[in-house]
Amino acid sequence: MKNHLFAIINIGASAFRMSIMQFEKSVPTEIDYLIKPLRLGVDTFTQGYIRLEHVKQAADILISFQMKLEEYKITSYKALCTSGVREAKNKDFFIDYIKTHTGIILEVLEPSDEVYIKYVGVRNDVPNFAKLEQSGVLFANISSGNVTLSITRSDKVLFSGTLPYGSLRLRQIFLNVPAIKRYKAFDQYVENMIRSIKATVDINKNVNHLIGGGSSINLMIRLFKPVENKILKSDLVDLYNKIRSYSTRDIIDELQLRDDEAAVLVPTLSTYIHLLKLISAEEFIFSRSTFPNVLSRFYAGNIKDKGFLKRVRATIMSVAKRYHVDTKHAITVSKNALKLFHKLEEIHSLAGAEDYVLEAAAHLHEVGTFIAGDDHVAENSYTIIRSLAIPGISNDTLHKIATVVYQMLKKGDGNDVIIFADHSVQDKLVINKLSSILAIAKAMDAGKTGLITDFEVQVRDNMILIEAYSSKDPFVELNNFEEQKEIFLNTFGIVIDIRVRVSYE
Amino acid sequence: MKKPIIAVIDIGSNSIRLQVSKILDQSYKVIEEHKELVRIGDNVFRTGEFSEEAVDTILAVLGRMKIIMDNSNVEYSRVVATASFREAKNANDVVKKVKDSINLEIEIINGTEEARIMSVAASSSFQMSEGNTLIIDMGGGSTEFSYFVNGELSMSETTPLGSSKLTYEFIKTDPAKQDDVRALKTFIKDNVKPFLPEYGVTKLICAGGTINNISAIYNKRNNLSDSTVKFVDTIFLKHFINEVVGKTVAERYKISGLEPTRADIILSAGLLVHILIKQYQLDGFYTLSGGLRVGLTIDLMNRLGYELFFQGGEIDLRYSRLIETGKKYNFESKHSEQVTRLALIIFDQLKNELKLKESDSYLLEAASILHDVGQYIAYSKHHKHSYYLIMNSELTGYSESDINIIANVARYHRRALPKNTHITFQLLRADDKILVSKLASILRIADGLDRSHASYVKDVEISVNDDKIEFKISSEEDDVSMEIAGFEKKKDLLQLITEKDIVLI
Repeated sequence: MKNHLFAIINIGASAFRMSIMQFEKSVPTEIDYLIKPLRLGVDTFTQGYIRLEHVKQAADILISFQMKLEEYKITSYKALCTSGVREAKNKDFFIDYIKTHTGIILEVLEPSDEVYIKYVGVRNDVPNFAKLEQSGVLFANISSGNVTLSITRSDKVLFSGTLPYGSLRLRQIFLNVPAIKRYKAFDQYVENMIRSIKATVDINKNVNHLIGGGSSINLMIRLFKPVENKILKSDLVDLYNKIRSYSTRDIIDELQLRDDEAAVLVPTLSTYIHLLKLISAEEFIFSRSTFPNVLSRFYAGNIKDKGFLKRVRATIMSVAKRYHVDTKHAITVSKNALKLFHKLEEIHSLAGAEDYVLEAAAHLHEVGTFIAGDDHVAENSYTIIRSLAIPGISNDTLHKIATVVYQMLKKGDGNDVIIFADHSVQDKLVINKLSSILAIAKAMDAGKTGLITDFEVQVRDNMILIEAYSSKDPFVELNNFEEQKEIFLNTFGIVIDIRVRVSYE
Repeated sequence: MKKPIIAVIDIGSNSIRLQVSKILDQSYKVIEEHKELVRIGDNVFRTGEFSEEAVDTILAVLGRMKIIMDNSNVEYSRVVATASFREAKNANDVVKKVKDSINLEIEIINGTEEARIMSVAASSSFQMSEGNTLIIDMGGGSTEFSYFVNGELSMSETTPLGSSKLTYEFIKTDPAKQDDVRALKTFIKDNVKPFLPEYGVTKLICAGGTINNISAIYNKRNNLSDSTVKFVDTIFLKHFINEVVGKTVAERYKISGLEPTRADIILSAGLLVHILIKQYQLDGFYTLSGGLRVGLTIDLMNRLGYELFFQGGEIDLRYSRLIETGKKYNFESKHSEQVTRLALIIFDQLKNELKLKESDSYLLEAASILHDVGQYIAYSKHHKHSYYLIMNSELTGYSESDINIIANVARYHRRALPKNTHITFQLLRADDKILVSKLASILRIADGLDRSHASYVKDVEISVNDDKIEFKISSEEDDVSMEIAGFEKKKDLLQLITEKDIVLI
């Protein structure tokens, strides 16, 4: 991406935006920015589908964007849709229509990717973000469709999610409530969101800073004209108290806003005020970067996420704790698994990056026992892992981690089920290899007591021998190893065995 | 203060079982289980004492279990032996040998103590204060009977009716001769007649590995999930006995789910239960897996000063298990209580219109309490998460099919209406599909009427007309616009079912 033009088209719930970036010696400069209002979210959030009339208008807008692309001779671009399209029942029709009529291939950005990209964007753009994060940061990206939230503290993601509380969505839900008391409905609805957050995170002790982002920021900047990148709660409250009972017309007249901006102002203010109250803060910091701008830099590889692996590890461990996993056991299994993975490289031939899937699977393999400790642990662990939202880990990767766990707990018998059938042939092979390694790693700490303190791996022509060191007879471990050997043999075609040296010998 | 890890060992005639548990707040979590089928009682019932081989087996098995206990850092334990030790002439020698070589103290408990421990186990899963409950615990050497009238123990008796013992004494050929089976039945009847009530038993709860094996076969054939409490109907038991009685032991091995080591003794277990069911004209019987071990664990906890959630005096076990399940998943109790209250108010006024039975309210109550538990997994699609969390919960007082209905009602508390294309809905019986739709239609409205989660609605009055159903809500709040919007959004299913306008006046 050096000395290169790159464009991002972002189809949001209330507008279509295009950012054209020039990368000169990897330094990005936005050379053009287009915005065309079209509130697809009004259709999606009220009727559930996008009306054909608006599908056609979308095609017209995108044709005009395409002309701009041709003007700049840009061939490298991405077109991404968020909630306005993602949640529409006819999203496949919409995407197909756009492709047929404009040639533009739209991609739907998954909520977990959306929250991650927004998070790393603001992490790059807000000075001292990493320092602020040490005392807890609530990052809120308030857009038309959703509020994207990420709560981080000391390299750990405490909460991450895309919640359906966007300003346009709120506006549509309570359209029939008289304007004079509509603000009460907004307040109550936002309080629901606050309750959802509180149910997951102990906010009081963990979060001290609010950082705002999203399409709402431009509106805030125009209204409050902040000198620094900060907006005060007192200013938000004053404005809110003044205009909360106004009709959209009154707001337009009073504040000289566009119709679409005026319509979402009260729910936007209500959301910011509630979030500030939640963390007992008096101001919020914001990033001026637009989402398309962040997207451009992200996909051009210009945004670095320092500490990514450390954060993911800490996040996975906090998930494990939430589901009452025996973390000591999980860490032991993970250590065993990674050691086996590296010692058996010649046999499994997997890329180094797969060890990160194995490590996550080892940490999370028992989450399902929280629901019920019976025959359904495999299914329950699979479902919980698939439902996770870990910023920076794609849905595909989570699916792979979940299936490794499922396959290991099913002792390799999961091949016929739908869960497994969803993966490509290549992925199935990777999953089988990793689940076989995980099964052996788990067996070596089956009693969950850390009896086996270390081991060596000898790869022989006809077998793999693990020489383990233990302080006492690891009766449960040996018993379990016997049960797990078959999965390994069935995957790699070689027998694996264990010999234990007890320290008193 | 760190709560201790405890272990119990149950030395039966057929098997020796270890259960290691971690004490939690008002409950416990099993962290290790180990079972070995030993049949140590066989010789005792033939010769009156443990054979040398049996003594070696006891020492070896308990030695392995002691290692597991030590590795798991067990602080408190209780080892009990039942019928075979009570009868064996050399039992005290074995107890001494175990003490000397393994340092485990075996306690030989009498029949009354065994019955008491069983009743402790049963009280964790059944509302013992309702009706007259007969509990039988069938081991290899003896069967303990205890009878509770409205929760009060009125009789406890140890009989020589163990499954192995009966088999050895009466079944001399393979397959069994009809005359021998007849004699066996007469012996059972003669033995139980003197102490069992002539009539009045309303519930039969059975424990013991062999009877549990019958219920496991029943569940397997009916595709029911594994659970601590299972219900087996009388018709199945009758057919099962007919299936087994004419077969040789080798032929019985082929019965799917039948444990090979129980193939010879399963007939006598089936016959005993069938005699009881017939005498009291019951529809079937319950089995309680983990019987004595569960009772021993709870009893040991009580001795250490820990009380379980259901031991807090006069409580409704069914309701408190629902609350316990909700708490496990951090449910929002205030919202849950309000939705349940409103749902039951609506149920009362619509039960005639919807042709619902009074007993259906228990299903609605459970679904209302647990409808949001899925939020523990993720807010997104939480209704679907609620479904499988409920399906995996052991809800006291509800059968497997009840739980299936409750899970489906909770699943349909928001978003899509019930559809035959939904796999979870497809699996329901036709009658249950209709019931799920009716109850979900009430739950949706009740949930909508607490959309603010602020318990604003105090009461609901409903009038049913020919073409419409009118709802009138009362509240002390001026503004219930969230609740009104919630009602409008969620009245869809009731409208569809009744084909009437649903109006809030």
